[in-house]
Amino acid sequence: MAQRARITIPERTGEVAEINYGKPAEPDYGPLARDRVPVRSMVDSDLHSLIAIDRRVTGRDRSAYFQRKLAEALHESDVRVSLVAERDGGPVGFIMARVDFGEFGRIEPTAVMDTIGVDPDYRDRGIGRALLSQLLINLMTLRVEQIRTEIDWHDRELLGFLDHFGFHPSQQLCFEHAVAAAG
Amino acid sequence: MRSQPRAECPSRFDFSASANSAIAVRRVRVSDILQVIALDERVTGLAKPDYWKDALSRYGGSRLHDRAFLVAKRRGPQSESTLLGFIIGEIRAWEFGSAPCGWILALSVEPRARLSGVGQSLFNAIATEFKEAGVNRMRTMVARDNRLHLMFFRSEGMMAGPYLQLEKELD
Repeated sequence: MAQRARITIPERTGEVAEINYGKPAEPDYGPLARDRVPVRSMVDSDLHSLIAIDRRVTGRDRSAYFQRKLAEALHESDVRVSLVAERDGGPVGFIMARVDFGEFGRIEPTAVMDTIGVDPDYRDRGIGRALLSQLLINLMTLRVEQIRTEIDWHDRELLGFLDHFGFHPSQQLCFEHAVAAAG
Repeated sequence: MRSQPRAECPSRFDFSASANSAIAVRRVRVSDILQVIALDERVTGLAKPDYWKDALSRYGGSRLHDRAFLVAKRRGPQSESTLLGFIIGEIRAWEFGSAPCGWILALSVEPRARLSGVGQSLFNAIATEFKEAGVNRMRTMVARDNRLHLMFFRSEGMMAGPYLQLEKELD
């Protein structure tokens, strides 16, 4: 029987601190996107714009959902962190988040991001990047230590977007159950 | 979804029947909160009174048609004396386009009352709340190292769901 070749580990030939030009770029919450796109805090009067953008994105009328989320973002939360992006004199995108006092057994002050929407006519113009980068900057100013979100595994576009911004899977596992079969 | 807010009608869990007939499950009351705080402190080793008072006002005092903060007590003359456990849930709809779904956000059972059906009674009660509200799925997130909750939810038939929790440290 032929003798197996042994694996050899190459000896290090350079310094660890050597610049790695092949390393992926750091997430951009630098100035580019949010300097090009004006981003401001969300207000009550944005409701109709949010519903209209969402209707164009999803093809659904989710007025009730947005009324509830806006009330939650603006009136139930101690800190208002939801944002709207404007171009051509009106809202073209939004991001909704809240600073949460903890759930699923966690008690650290955490921001929870749960909705982002960009008008289809303004896609690929850095609107989403501007919104998220401004949100991250604002949260850091508020000394919030972590942001998290729960997304569907099948939403590859959103997964890729958040991956680019440095999000990674948490140490929490999702479980689900059909309610009709429970009890 | 239910058309009338739950606050306008009596809760069907006011000491109604549950899976275990010795255990009564009902919505939380202000008078329960000290026992909730004490139970959580015994279980987690951390006293968080402000956290639970916030939870009471958020999940026990507003939007009761899609939020539930339920407590389990022993049925009978002493039923108001000792808290056996509690569960908190909320119906979330359309976050990132997902269909309405009930989320279990917190669950705790008195250590001395475990293995007597308290967790199951709470689980079934909140499942009924979700079902009545018109959703057909419920979900929760469990820490990978929380074996107690992992075993409990698996024993209740929960399976791995299609959601990922993503996070990012802000520093």
